[in-house]
Amino acid sequence: MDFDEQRQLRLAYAITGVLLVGMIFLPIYYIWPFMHWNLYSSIGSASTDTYTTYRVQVGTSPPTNMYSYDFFTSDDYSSTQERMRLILDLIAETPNDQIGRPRRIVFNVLRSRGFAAEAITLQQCTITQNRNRFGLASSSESCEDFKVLADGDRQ
Amino acid sequence: MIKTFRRLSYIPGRWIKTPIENAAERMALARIVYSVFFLFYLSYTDLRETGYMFGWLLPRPFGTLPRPNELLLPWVEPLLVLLLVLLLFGLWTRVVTGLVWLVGSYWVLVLQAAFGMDKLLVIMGVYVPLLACFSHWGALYSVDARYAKAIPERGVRHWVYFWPARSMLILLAFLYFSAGFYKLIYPGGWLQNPSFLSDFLQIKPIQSVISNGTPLNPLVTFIAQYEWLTRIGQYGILAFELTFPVVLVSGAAYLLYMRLLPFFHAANAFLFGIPFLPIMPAYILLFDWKNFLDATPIEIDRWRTFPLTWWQSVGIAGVVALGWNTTPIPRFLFGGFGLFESNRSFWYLMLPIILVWYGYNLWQWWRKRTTEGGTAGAVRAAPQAE
Repeated sequence: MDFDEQRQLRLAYAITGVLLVGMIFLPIYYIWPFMHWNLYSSIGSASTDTYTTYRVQVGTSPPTNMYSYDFFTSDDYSSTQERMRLILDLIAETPNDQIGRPRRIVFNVLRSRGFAAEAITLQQCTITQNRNRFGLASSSESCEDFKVLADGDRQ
Repeated sequence: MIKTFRRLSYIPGRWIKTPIENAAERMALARIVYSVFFLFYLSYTDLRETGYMFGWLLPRPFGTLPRPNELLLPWVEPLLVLLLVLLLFGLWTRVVTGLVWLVGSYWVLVLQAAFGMDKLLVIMGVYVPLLACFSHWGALYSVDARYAKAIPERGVRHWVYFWPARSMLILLAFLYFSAGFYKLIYPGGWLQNPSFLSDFLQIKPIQSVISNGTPLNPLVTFIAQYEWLTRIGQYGILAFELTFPVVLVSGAAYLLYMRLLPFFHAANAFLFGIPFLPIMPAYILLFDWKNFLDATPIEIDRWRTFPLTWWQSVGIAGVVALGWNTTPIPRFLFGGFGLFESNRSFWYLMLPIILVWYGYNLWQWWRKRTTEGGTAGAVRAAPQAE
């Protein structure tokens, strides 16, 4: 079969170029394929994001920051572990209508630490982050402390 | 200036024009696999669910597009199905591919605006059909080939059949590199926070369980406990993504990275519950389906021209499209005969197949090596015996 090779090559350049340049320069970051995580989506445009971070300290271990990726799905109580239920209840008391995910986060922290901790400290931080179009951020945060020392005790 | 541009364009031109074995066969088979894969994906989505949609958040350039008519919306998927079955048969391939691009783009927009679904859907619904509709992927294994005056010769190595795959490789290289680059520069993220991956390992699988029922891997909490394991993941993923563009300049790197990719995605699916399905069509363009099918009992060369007529193809496509939302049969057939709970279970089937394929290739290589070694040894030994 005969082809006009120069025409085909120009076509290949044009289509590839349009897609590549479009991906880089057009303001379509929302459908930019690799922007899978909300974490990176604020880069490329000025924005103000408010998100919640949970800092969990188990025993004497250093605090672990748990990032909350989404909060719109409700969850259920699925465990009978008493210590965990305390934590879950504790979080459920917070004036936050998006309480599903944090329960699971704490559940996982406890599970990964083998439930060996004597004291569990939980801090809920609301972080407001202002970002300019170059991705430079300035942020402010406010935190609430909770501490579970033993069953039923709360500070 | 023009001379400089011409000189510079010589390098990518030479790269894109490199001949490749079975170019026409590979792309034509990629067309069939792409259609089947898209139908497989569609069999687990249902736009009729948008009746319950809670949001209509459009990507920026399409911000003024009106919310879709709910009476019209249920027909988007059957229309796409009709086009994909025609594409599978290779009837009016160029026009049908263009229509798949248009309807596919709208389908992606609706899914993203209503459900906030996977951004990678653009690879499957937009990029692949856009690249392919200017190519010749309908030249073989198609109804078009039956009516064509001439079809490509066997094993033709001409680059014009294969350039969409090479263009896709450029896009993939850019996507991988940029994904790694953002991990590198994002403040407080991937590198700066030592427990990032450990935390992510504990959060994302749960998110996946809740949002789409992906099975939870009990290993994640085990892995998350060990910092050295998560550190390997943290730096390993970063290195993989940042160095991916090497595939464009090194054949050996291309072979290595293409073989690592299934493990990269399978690990994402099993550990994080992210199966990255909509990116699969990009790899479908790159995979050597001719080589794969030649290793099976399927005699694919008997089908270089499809025995169907144009009206038979339209009839079958019409029946499948009409039955898509009215009967469970098409979704059952294209969804894997009820084998999968959802399309997110894809890797549970694919990884064993890929491992068998790798094992087969390794065995073939070893057998060839020992046979050649033996023959060479015999040839060398012969004069000595004399």
